[in-house]
Amino acid sequence: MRTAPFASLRSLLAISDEQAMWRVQTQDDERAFAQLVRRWEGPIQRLAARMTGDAHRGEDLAQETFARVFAKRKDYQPSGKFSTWLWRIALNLCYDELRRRQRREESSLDGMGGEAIAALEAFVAPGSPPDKSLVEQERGELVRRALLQLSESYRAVLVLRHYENLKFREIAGVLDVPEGTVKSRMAEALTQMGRLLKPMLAVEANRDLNRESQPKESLMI
Amino acid sequence: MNHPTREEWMSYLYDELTAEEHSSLAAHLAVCPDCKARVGDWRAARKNLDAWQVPAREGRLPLHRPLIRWAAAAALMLGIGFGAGRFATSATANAGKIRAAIEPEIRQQLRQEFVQLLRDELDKAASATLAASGEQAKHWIEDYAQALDTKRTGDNQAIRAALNNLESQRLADFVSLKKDVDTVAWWTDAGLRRARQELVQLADSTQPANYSNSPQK
Repeated sequence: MRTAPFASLRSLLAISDEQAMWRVQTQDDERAFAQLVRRWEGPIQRLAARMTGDAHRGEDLAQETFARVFAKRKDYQPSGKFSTWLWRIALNLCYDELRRRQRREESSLDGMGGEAIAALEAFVAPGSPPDKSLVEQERGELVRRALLQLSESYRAVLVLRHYENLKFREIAGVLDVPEGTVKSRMAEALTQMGRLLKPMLAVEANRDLNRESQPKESLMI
Repeated sequence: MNHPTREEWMSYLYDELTAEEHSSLAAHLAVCPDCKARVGDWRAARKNLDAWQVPAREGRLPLHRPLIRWAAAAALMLGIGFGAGRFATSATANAGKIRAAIEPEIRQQLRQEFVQLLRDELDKAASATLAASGEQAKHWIEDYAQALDTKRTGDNQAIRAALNNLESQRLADFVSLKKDVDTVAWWTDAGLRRARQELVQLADSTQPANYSNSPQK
């Protein structure tokens, strides 16, 4: 990747999200809109991927989010923070998607717990120890599944605070609930995640024990 | 023992406390096994959350994406059609082999072209933004200077008008004062004349009496 010339100058001259959105709102400025997309595409994709548990759907939802931002540009209140408005639109689209999916696959969602247990069983199954990247991948997959089992309101708080690093106060603004509610939802979300991921920890401990014992066995043979 | 609330522990875990509040909670944690176990569970859950990383595929602007996709599809079809059509005329040519031979090359070429196109487009967008920002700043400065100039001209005109007004007022006052002085002078003059006339008349009327009263010898 080439280093951009005048990068520091460009960052100095860069307009804020609110200024860019104001230009989009008042002048239909495409360049300002492209700038907003460039800045927020990644975070919105990640949010949507984590809310729906699907990275590809996350990309589509991020595009839908920006399409909606442009369509609803006249509704934007310049006194408010752009990111708060954007997170809210993205979250609402994620909720819509989850509801659609729930209607479509109501029965298969019930089986999600069973699926997670099956994945865990596969994880503990004896055999040659998988390499490190595979272990990481499997751990990531278990977290994804566990996260999908949380209720939407807990998941939204957890994703925004833990993964996207928003302050509790900002999350309260996005969700339009008191800050104390956000914190108690976060505590509940972490408690539930701890409970859901406990088997994973146990499995890992088992694997470590197996690894330690394996060389001894081979020596004995 | 008063245990901190779970809301307070959340602020503690995510570093959203003042230094004072933080050290107070840390002190409690050091002496309370219940809270230590609770916070330990939350910490473990937090640590596990990081196992799921979502790679964001940035730089795929919705404004450009359909255009590039359509262009790529069209170019690929054209390339394959042209190649296949050309070689299909030869009796010995095998269409499958030809396609297999030219497809990677075309793909490679297209990929390079589109990477270049994308880069150029991004660079163009970035420099256009930069230029637009500069242009905007220039416009603002020009507008500001113009507004300043207009305001200064307006102020000057107002001051000049006020001075003219003052001048004409002064002139009018002067004329009126002069008129008053002239009037006073005229009246004074007239009064003096009348007084002198009266004195003369008085002198005329009193003189014969005096003469008549005087002894005639």
